[in-house]
Amino acid sequence: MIASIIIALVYAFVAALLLQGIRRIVVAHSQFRKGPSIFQTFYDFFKLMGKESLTPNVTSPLLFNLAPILSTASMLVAALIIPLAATTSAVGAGDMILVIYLLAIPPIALILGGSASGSPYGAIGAAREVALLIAYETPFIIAMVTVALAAGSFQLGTISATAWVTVLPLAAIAAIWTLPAAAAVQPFDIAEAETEIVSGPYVEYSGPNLALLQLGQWLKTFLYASLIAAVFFGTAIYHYEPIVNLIIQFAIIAVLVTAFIAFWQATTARTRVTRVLRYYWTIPTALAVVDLILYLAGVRYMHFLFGWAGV
Amino acid sequence: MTVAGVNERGFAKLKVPIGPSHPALEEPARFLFEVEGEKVVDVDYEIGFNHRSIERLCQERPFSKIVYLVERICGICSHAHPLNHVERVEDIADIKVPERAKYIRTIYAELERIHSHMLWAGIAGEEIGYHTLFMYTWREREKVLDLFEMLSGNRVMHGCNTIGGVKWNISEEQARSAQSALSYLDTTADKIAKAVLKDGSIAERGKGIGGLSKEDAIRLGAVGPNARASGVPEDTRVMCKYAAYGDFDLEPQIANDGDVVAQALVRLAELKQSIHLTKDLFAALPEGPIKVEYDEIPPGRSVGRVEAPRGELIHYVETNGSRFFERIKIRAPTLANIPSYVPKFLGCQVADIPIIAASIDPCFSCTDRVTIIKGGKRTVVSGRDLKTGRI
Repeated sequence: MIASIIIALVYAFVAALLLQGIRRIVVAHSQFRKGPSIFQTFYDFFKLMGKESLTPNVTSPLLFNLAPILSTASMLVAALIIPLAATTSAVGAGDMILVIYLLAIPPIALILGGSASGSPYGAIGAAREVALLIAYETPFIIAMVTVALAAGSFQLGTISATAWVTVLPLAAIAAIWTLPAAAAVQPFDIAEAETEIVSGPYVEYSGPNLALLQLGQWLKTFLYASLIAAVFFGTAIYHYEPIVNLIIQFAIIAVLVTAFIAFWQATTARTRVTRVLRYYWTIPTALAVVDLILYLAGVRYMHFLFGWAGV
Repeated sequence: MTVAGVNERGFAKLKVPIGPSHPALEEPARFLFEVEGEKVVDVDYEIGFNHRSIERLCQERPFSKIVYLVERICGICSHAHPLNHVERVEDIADIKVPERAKYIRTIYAELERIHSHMLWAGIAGEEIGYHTLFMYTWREREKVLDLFEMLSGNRVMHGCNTIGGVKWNISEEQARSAQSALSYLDTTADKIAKAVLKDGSIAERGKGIGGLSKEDAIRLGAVGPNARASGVPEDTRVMCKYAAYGDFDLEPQIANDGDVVAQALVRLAELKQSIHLTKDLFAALPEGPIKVEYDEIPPGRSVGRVEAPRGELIHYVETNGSRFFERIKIRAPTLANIPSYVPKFLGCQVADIPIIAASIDPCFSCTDRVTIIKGGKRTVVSGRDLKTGRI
């Protein structure tokens, strides 16, 4: 039990930071640059951990210092629950609901930290993070509930026994569509937006506090993608030996991240906060709702394609 | 009942300082925005953080060195300043510059406009978070700098102008390879125009953002591409016909509304125009000497205008017959464009501040001419103070 917990945490940490390295290299290459080393995120993280952490005078010190810990701690808990390749879920029934709640904590930590920092940039960044969170969580949760209804369970172990992308492709598209917003990169880096508000909530953070706040965000990107992989590409992961499963799962996540985060980041300008709600509450939400209604109405439109697989 | 700090509409008013040191500004300037939520309701600006007392230095050195000093006012307009300066001195001394020198000066001026407008497109992309556009335009901009290096041996400070002509001649071979480089830049300009004007996310960030009406542009004295984006057909190259511009037919490129998209339209059209003009200049380069000798600079005064990439640049030069200038006064285009910030910023969103700030292509360091510090405290001098002499 202890061993599997340690394996899950180490795997989540290494994979999350490696994903950022992959994303940065892909973005760099699409911008005609060489980009940093794939391990740059590790160097940055360990460098920051060795620095001094400053707390500005005007803030509420407790909230300010609690936010980074909250962010990373919640993600480490989520790493134990989301079925990663080498481990299975630590809790039983209803763990999907728990994971969805846990995944909302890093943004909430950013909101807390930004508001507590006493900086106008942090305050504006916090307000933008609220709008972003409301925007992308809506289609994501509808898509997840659709899958849970179809699986007849909120338990990730049960859900990931089927590759739900073959049954509910529209819900899968809606969920994948929310990835860039969850990863908070262009065009959805509105809460950081360094040319506008000087990286918003992060502006007053330094040293280990900054490292943990960023680690929370990196872990969230990885875990969000692994939740999507586990829910929509479930069977692909659990058929084989643990090491093969691990490679397959990481490959799926890496493809999701490069195709839907890095390329989007490289080809768009940053959007505006007023636009984010309109953006996510139209097409992605509509896709998720259509799949939900079709499923409730008993329409199995993918049956003719994947009927042989028994879905 | 209103709570302290909250207005009657329930918004907390927040003062957001941008600058003097801020990622959105390449140079020091300070803007103080008053915002309600994300909306800007008031703006104040302050310049004078990078005063280098160049005008004073110009009076303390022999005039042969001043050409190189004014060249260093701006890293981008490093040809427009000395061009205007030498034209003023030549006007006072009545020096007839050879035709070939005039053409070479014009070639440098147009190449400078090309790289400056490409630089603007990149910075505008960077301000709205479109890093790929920034990387692309700046990579292609290197071709113009390579061209400068081939022609003058320098990439930024060309040292091309001198009183009575130019220092670097252009050989046949250089003209040929410049033509092929310009043909390449022509296709690049089309690609940049397509990337900027056809992109949905740029249109979303630029359409209707930072608008300036034609009346406001005239009233606030906007110059250059900033004024042309608001529909003011004012181009010093067309109006003053300095250097070799009299030999070519140029149309001022104008757009309407003055918003970010209009600014981009004007600059991208000028980019194409400048590339074609430079090709024509290379093709029509007259034979002859590139420099004439001169004896003495008599006492006199001259004021003149040159179209720098950022707009109308005014130099005033006064000589007294000695080796030193009596007075040099420089009005950089950004100083004339700063008042147009106020209508552009009012009512905009916080997210639009950087792109609006960048849209007029500001160059604050060139603009800073005077800073008054009394007892360690900066003060603002009004027009009345200047008239009554109470400073």
